[in-house]
Amino acid sequence: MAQIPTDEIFLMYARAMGFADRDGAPLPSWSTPEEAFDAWRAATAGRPVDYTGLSYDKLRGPTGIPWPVNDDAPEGTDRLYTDPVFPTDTDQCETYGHDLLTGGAVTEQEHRAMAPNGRAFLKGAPYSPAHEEPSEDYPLLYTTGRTVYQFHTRTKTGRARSLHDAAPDAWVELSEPDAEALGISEGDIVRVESPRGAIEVRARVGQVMAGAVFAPFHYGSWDLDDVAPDQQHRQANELTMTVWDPVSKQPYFKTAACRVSRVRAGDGPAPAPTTAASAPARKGSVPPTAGGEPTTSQVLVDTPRYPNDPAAGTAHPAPTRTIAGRP
Amino acid sequence: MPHLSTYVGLADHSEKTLADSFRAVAEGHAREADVFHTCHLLAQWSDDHRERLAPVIDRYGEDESVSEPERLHADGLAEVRSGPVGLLRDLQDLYVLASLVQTTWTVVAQGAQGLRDRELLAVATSSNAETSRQLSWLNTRMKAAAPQALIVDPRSSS
Repeated sequence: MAQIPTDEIFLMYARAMGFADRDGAPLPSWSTPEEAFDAWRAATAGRPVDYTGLSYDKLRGPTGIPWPVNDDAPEGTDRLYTDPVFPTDTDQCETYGHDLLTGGAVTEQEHRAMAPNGRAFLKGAPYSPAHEEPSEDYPLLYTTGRTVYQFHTRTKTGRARSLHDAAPDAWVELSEPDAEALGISEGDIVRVESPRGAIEVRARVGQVMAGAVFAPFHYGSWDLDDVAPDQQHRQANELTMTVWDPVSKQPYFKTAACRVSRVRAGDGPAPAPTTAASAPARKGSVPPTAGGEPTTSQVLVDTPRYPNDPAAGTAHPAPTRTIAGRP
Repeated sequence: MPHLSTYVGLADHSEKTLADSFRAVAEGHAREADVFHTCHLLAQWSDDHRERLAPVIDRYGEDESVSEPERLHADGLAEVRSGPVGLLRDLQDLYVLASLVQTTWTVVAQGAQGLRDRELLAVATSSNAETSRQLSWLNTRMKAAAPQALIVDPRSSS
């Protein structure tokens, strides 16, 4: 299936719906990515993230440009908070904030009553236990995470040979005492199960603390017909819960309870790197992860000039403002 | 303090009704994962308020000599409604119950101040503050649920 860029989907929808402004001109008014960028740029005028001074030409230039970038700071702004005055003023801020435990929104009136006056808010929340804790049926802590060689679902890193080879397939990490109690050795195929789902992957007897189980989340399948049958049950987040942070809406993929059982012996060590966090508990028990043939890369002859480079003389501005009523 | 004990009893009873109702909504709308988890959390807060109030109730006792105002207690949500509009109405009902709780804590705090009952005043003040947070969440969640519930015709989705 052909892939359609997001902006085109957006435009096709808007045109199909016949969206128009008061003069009858089509909405949105832009039709190319650059025009969309310009429209969005105009909307930032006067806001904290003001990048009215950016352009496609500037973006194509030699270096990054940190916002705000506008008439006052045509080359961007290196440091946002050079004085103790924060953009918390009720009429200027981007949000009035939320109750960190419930996500309940702070109202404009409540925000104004706190008289922010440029002060920063430091919010705390009392400890609240994980949504699922180990039990008799699921006695182990389950957590998911990354390996240094892969990024997200490996759509890019999985195509770089040396990165792929360093961590080619899913695994699960167990502590030595847990592995021993469960009769599991390095490389065995194990089943990791939570109340919601299971994976069957090879075990690395590794560095995790006793009572905890770690699975990398990079491994799934773009198409179930595409992967070998023994790789169809390796999606680490089959086990995690449907629950998210009430303010940021970030899903909770780090806590669940699970149980582990040995399925059968493996045919070698787990496909986990021997470097970084997935190093085996016993040094030398697994052949070390090593790089492949050298790859080529191009080194720029000249380092790009950075307009805000402190070494070039434009030092960071000294604080100029203070909070009203304070020295 | 004839009626203060009645209102201390009302605080206890209405917090229980609110906690039970939060749990009913949590279970009844469990497919809305955030509603499930947050309602259970907020039910626990109401449980905590009752636990902190328990020693005060022991002191004041059940005063049978004064007749309670008629229709003192509000009914909770025995069962939930279904669908997006059902969720919206259930959240509105929780809001009404939480408002009863909050106004009860407000008047109890006034009575506690009159009697210089510092223990009761502390319970009423801290509980009132958390009831505000319950109300704030309910308001926020209703706002999030309203557009879809009010505008989208459920018959047009297959």
